[in-house]
Formats: sequence, C-alpha cells, structure tokens
Amino acid sequence: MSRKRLSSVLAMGLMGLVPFVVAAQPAAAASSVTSQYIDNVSNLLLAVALPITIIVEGVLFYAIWKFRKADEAKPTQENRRLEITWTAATAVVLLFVGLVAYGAMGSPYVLPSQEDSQQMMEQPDTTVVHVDSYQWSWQFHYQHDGTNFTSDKLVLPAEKQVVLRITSRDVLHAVHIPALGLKKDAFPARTTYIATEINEDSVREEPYVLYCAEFCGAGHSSMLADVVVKNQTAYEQWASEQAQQAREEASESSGSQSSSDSNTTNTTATNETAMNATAANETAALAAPSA
Amino acid sequence: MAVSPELVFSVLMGLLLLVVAGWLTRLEDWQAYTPVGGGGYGESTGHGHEEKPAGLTRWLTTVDHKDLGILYSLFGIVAFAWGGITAMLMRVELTTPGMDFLASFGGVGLYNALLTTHGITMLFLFAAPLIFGFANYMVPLLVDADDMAFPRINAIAFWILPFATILMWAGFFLPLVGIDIQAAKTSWTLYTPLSSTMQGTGVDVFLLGFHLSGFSTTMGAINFIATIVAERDSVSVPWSKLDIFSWTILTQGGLILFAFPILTAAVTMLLLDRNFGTMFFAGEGGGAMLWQHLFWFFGHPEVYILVLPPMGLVSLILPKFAGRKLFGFKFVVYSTLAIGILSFGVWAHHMFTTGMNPRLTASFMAISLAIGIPSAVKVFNWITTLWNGKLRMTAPMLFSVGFVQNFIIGGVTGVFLAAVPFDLVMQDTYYVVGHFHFIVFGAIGFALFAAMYYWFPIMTGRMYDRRLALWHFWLSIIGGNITFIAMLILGYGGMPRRYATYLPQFMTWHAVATVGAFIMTFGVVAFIWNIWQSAQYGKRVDSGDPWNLKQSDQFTNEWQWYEGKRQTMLADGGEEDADDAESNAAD
Repeated sequence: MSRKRLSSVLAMGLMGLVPFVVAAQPAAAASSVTSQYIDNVSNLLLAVALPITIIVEGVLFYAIWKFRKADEAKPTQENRRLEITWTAATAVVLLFVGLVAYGAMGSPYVLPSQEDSQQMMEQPDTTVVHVDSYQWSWQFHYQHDGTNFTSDKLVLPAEKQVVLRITSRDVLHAVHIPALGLKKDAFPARTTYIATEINEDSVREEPYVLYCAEFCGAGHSSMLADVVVKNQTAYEQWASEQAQQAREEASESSGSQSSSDSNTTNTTATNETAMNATAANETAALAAPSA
Repeated sequence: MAVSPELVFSVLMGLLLLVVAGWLTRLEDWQAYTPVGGGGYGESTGHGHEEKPAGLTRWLTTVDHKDLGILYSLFGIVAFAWGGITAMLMRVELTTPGMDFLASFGGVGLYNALLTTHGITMLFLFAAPLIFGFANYMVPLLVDADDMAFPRINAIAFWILPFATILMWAGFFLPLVGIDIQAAKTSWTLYTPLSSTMQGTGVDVFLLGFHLSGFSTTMGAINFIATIVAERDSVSVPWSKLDIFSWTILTQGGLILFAFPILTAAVTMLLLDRNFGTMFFAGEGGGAMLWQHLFWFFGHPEVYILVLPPMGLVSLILPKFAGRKLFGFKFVVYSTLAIGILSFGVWAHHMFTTGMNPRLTASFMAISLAIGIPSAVKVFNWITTLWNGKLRMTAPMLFSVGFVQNFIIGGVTGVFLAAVPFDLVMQDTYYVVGHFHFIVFGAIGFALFAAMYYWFPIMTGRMYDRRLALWHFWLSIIGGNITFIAMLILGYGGMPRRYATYLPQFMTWHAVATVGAFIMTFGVVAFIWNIWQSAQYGKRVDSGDPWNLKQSDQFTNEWQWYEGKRQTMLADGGEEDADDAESNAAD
C-alpha cells in the first residue's frame, strides 16, 4: 500500500533526525555567553528543521513525480489515525523547539528582566555602559574611578560581566551587534538592558559593527558604531586614560575643550544629570508593570 | 471676495471633466474596436438595458457581485504592478552598497518612502483586494446565493478603495506637480514616536488613506459573513457541504471583524497625536509600547486574514487536478478555525526584543509554536491529496504545488522566529524579510495566481495562454526562491532590514537577491500580459467544464452555474448582430 509507504517515509525521516540532533553539539567558538546560548538553540533548530524541510519537500516532489502520469486517481479515504499521528508528531517537534528555546531563555544573559539587570549592575565587578541613542548616532557613557566619560565607540572588556543600559532621546532605535549575538530595542523614556559576558577569543583590534536595527528615519542605514573588545588589562588602561582625560578637561576650564584628537569629549557635568535622569526612569520603570 | 484665477481655472477644469465623463458614459461599448467586439472583461456589454447599462456606466454603477469581483481583481493587479515597481526600484538600488541608483531621485528619503509603500500596497491593496475579488465572484456562486447579502455595501466597499489608494500613493505624485506633500517614510508598521513626530502632511494623507482602506475591508468582511450565513441556500449547501474556500472566507471575516477596529482605533489615535496634540503615544503615557501592542494585535491576525483564504484556494484547486477529493477535509476546516482563534494570541512575538517581561515572552512563544501545528497539518493534507492521485499539471495546479513548496520554507523559518532566543538576534534582519516574503509572495501570491488561472474561463469566457502561464510559473518559483533564500542568508549574516545603504560584506547576496527579483519580474510581466491579452483575444471556452471536473465528480457549484449560463445563452442565441452571436452574455 502506498499509504503505508508514505507513513514509512515519514517515520524514516523522523528517525533520520536523531543523528542530526546528536551531532548538533554546542558551537565551539561562540563570541559571547549570549551568543553561545543562542547559537546552541539556532544549531539545534537547524539540525531538526533542515532534514524535516528536505524530507517534506522531497515527499512533495516525489508525489508530483510519481503520480503525474498515473492512469487513474484512487478515491480519497479518510484515515483518522494518519491525521492524528502527524498532528502529534508535529506537536512533539514543536514541543522540542519550545523546550530548547525555553532552556536558553532562563539565562539572564539571553533575556534579562529588569530585576536581573539591576542586580547585576549592583555587583562591583560588572562593567556598566549606558548606551544613549539618538537620530542618528550613538553615545556610550562610562563611569570609571568615579569619573564619567563618554565615547563614540563601544569599548567592552572580555571575560567580564557587562550590562548595557539602553535608552533613546527621540524615536525607537535598536542595538544590534550580530557578531556578539546581542540585540535590544531602545525606547525614549524607558530603559532596556543587555547583559552578557564576551569570550576571550573575541578580543581583536578590528572593531565589530553595531547596527541600528529599528527603523528610525533618514539616517537609519548609516547609524552604525564600532564595537571594540579588549582584554581586561587593555580595557582598564583605556578606561583609566579616558577618565583621566575627562578629569583634566573638567579641571582646566569647563568652557573651551576642543582638543578632540581622541574620540571622547568631556561631558561630565551634563552626563551626570543624564545618568541621574535615567536612574529615575529605572525606578519608575521598575514600579510600573514591565510589559 | 475676489475671484482668483485659480478658482476660475478649477471650475472650468471641473466642467471639462464632467463633459468627458458624460461622453464616456454615452459610449455604448467603449472598446468596440477590438476584433471580437464586446471586449473588456467579463460578460460583454453590447447592449444596455435598464438593469445593466452599457459602457463605462455599467462598471461605475454596478452592484453585481461578479462585476465587483472583476473590479476588485483588476484593482488588485494594478496595485500589484505598483508594489512590484517599487520593489524593483529598491532591489536595483540594493545591488551596490552605496546610494547610487536612486541618488538623483531623492536618495535615502525616496528609498524609505518606497519601502513604506511597497509593504502597505502588497498587503492591503494587492493581496486583500484580490482575495476579495475572487470571494466576491465565487462565494455567492459556491453557496448558491443570488448575490452578496448587501450588494450596495459591496459596491461602496469597493469604491472606497481607489480613493484610499489615491491618498496612500499621493505623496509620490503630488511633488511632481509642485504640491509639497511628500510620501510617508514611516515604514508600514508606523512605529511611534517616529510616525507621530515625523513632519509633513504627507504622513497624514497617507494615514487617512490607510484608515479608509480599513473601512472598506470591514464592510467587505461583514458582507461575506452575512452572505455565507444568511444567503447560503441551506438545502443545496448545508453547513456540512460548504466548500473549503467559503470556510476560509468566513473565518477571515471573523478575524477582520475583531482585528480591524483595533487598527482603526490606533490610526485614529495616531492622527490625533499628530494633529491635535493628544499624547496617546508620547513617551510618558502609554508610549511606544502601546502602539506596538495595538498595531500587532491587529497586525498578526492580519497575517492570517491574508493567508487563510489562499490556503482555502489551494485546498479547493489542488484536489481538482489531483482527481480526488481533499484528504481530511474536516481536519483542514478545523485547522482553519484553530488558526483563526490562535492568531489573536501571538501578537507579541513581534516584540521579543523590546525588553518586555520574560515570562510574557515565554507564553507568546508557546502560542506561536502551537499555531505551527494546524499549519503543518494542512501541508500534510495537501501532500496526501496528491498521493495516489492522477495529477494534471495545469497552470493552476502548478501554482498550487508551488504554494505548498514555498509555504514549507516560509513555515519552517517562521517556527525558528517563534523561538525567542533565535528571534533575539534575527528580529529586524533580512531573515524576517525572507521568511515573510516566502509567505506573502511565495504562498499568498501563488495561491492567487492559481485562482486567477483556475477561474479565468468563468470570469472571461476565454482561456489563458498556457505557454505564457508556464513561463510565469517557472520564472516566479525560481526567482522567488533565489531572492528569498538570499534574504535568509543575509539575515544569518546580521544584515538589518530597511537599510538603504549597507556594508560591502553583504554585497554578494544582495546582488543574488536582485537577480532573483528580476527573474520574478519577467514572470509577472508574462502574467499581466497574459491576463490582459487572453481576456480580450484568448481562445473561447467551448464547454461549461473546461477542466474536465465532471470526470472526477468535482463539478462544483460555480462551474454548474457557469454551464447553466452557457446553456441559457445558447437557447437564447438569436442572430441579432455579430456581437451577440459571439458573446456569452446571459443575464
């Protein structure tokens, strides 16, 4: 019976999935903890979906090929068992997808809640960067040795917990760093968070790209920024230099500061207010229901 | 008050237009120069009589569901052309990373306007009206009704559309005649605060048009529900014998009734925010999240509003050319209803990256995955229908199996996106673009092409050109898969969507996508040419059963009606004039 054959083709197909699933071991060279989780999910999904897609498409083509010159059509017969079988089989596959995804979602590095992010930011060892977006550029605010400074590059340390606090001054934007597996939307009057830890292997001179991923008007496609991942010593050095420079510029005179051979500017005073303002927002956001 | 020259000019212009309109309505047959006479679309209009005037007046005043079906279809094809042209302008621009092709016409601004109008046009002015076109023509025939339940509302619903469209497209043409109303550059999702703060009357004009098109859709939906429930001949077509296409149209109507009021409300609030200083979507109030929740509470059911009837079309057409009845008819109906209900519980999967509560995220993921079950079940049903059949690979059949092929990829990539961690990196990249193009063009578009070829004999009395139809199919399926797979690959590489310019590393796959888009365009040109030519000069259908459906006992209501119409015509066939002898008019 060719209906039997159809079900056996399907069954073999499902059996054929097993080696793929087993073979889909965690990706060796993930760039960050976040992308490690996401790559795992992504690879598992691909390992399941690719064979399923190929098998179903294959059965479709085979059916067309085989019955294209059939002499006559056999009348359709109901087959409740077959219907229930494939409904259940689909449900099992999708349940698997759900479980794999849910497993990764438990990590605060994938889907940090407001509370998770607050807690992480309070840990002394965490590097916190306030990502401020506006039409059409980015500013990254740091605090180091009690000094605030601003950079137009996102410089991050490897092997250290990092929290990005993301806000917008005008319309929606989104932080999108595909190489590190990081993405989150930026809202005005609301703070969102990315939490991650970048792997040592991702340290390199050449910057990664941060894209704006939420359509924000005329300058959307040029709203890019460099992301530099440094090892911890290099990062400490960079941050101290920046902080030092900011202090010097502040003490010189608050009026004229045009020596912008580095890409930082002294905005200590304004920055402080900005930081305070967002802190206030955070409290408000925490109080409000977070969806 | 002084009479300005402009005013005088306007009045004169208005009078002139009235004269022209009057002259056009007096033309008995405005396409009479065509060799066979009659011409135009649908039944020929050689003679006017009281119920159905001739010439242009007929098309402007008709309340006949068949005429309105043809008008909807024509409208859909015009919108399809506009959507296609805008897509090709973007694709050509994207061949190279920089801004060059469009640079001298408006650069990034024009690109952003194009992406906005492309999305809106294809969803609201191509797909939805074309579905309504077929439903208008066929549903009353399929359920043995005399006409739609409310013929006049039917006409109003249609005639709102051209005006809505003029408002939505105006921004592209008004600057050419010196009026400073720019096309909206908001993207079709109209996210606030960008859409609420963007300067320019063009956005308001566009929003009004969008608003109007919503009224049209809602009126149409009410009409379809009323027709299927109340006008259906309950003796010849009891619920148990209702065809699958009407089932999907009924479900679609229900979805529209619940989804479109939300859109109407949201767009109203947006217009108020823009023009009257309200603060619905301002930062401190409900804010940007409120817009997203409202928009997607409408927007995701809208996806199923657009995809369910095409699924119904394929479920209807596929068995006809497989020579056997649809496998698991009941399951297909149940899965349609299941999708309809579940579609209201998935909207926030468009918002996984907004930092909403992770627990909520998980529940939206669960429902989004669950909706994959009925969708997959349908695919298995279609394939099983083919199995053991006697397949006839006609154009409608090719497009139906093409639908299934594309829908498998579109569906699987959709399941990926439902998985939150995956979505967290792929949201707003070309992966999403590739996924929904597989659905909107590869599935919805293909089903509509299948329906167009399948019912072409009924709607025009003529047969399409088979060779052109084959070209259309092969170019569409090859070009479509090239373009949309290239988009998926771009998404894996991190390429964000809605970028007028991009980094050179993405160039190869963008170029591939453009090549595929050109292949598709040739296919679409073949389609439009075929429809246009065959409707006027195609070979006349010589029986009431051009598809040989009687053989497999699938000679359904609309074909029975058509056969009846042909017989009446023959019985009536006096030789009054050449037009009449050849025509197949039979009211």
